[in-house]
Amino acid sequence: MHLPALRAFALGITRDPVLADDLVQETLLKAWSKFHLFEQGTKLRSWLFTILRNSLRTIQRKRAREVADVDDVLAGRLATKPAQEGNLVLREVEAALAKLPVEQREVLWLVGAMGFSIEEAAETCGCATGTIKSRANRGRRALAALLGMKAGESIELTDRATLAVMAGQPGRSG
Amino acid sequence: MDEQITAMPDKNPAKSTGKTSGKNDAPTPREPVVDPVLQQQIDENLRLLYKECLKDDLSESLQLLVDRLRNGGKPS
Repeated sequence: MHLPALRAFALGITRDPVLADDLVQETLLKAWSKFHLFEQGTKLRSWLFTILRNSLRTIQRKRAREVADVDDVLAGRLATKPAQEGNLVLREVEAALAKLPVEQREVLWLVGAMGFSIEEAAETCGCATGTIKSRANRGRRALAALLGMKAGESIELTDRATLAVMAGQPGRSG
Repeated sequence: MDEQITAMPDKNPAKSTGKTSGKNDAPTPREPVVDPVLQQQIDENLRLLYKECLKDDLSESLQLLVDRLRNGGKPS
């Protein structure tokens, strides 16, 4: 069952537990009602993640009509989120990830975190493998910049890294 | 519910060629590639983040929905 992975992906992308649950619920209901459209031979995992991704896009479009930028809303929730337990370094990574454009964020989640192949991520996102590679590369570069990471150095909780996460902007969208 | 749920092309249908046409995603010739060691470090942190998210319990409503679907019942 891909449910925990779907929930983790939704949470990772939105950083909003309520929205993540809504997305997974919508994904399950759509998959349930549209299962006849599932093409045998394609990966069920990709199909489910495509549904979830499309559902998120729909929600973002709806919210975009209400607010200027849904990412700002989500970032705002992050800013007011109570202090979490757990690894502080991971919190920095999480905060930096939230600053990336959603297209890069989802590719980093799929490829970097969840181990999707480039081809499977391309199938999931409905775009070319070159696009996935480009988004992954840009996303990793932006993360490294935000976290002040260099090859061979582990992430440390430094003022430099923290300030970079708090103030930094990803270089480019896309 | 009428939304298309098969893989939908972004703005870029060039799947078979591997070329990109979306203006934000088109790789530029001089775009620097992340150092492989750095990439490994970044991905390791992403994996840890993912594992952490996996630990989250499913909400009660979600679990209920799953149970209903598993039992072949119609979701309310």
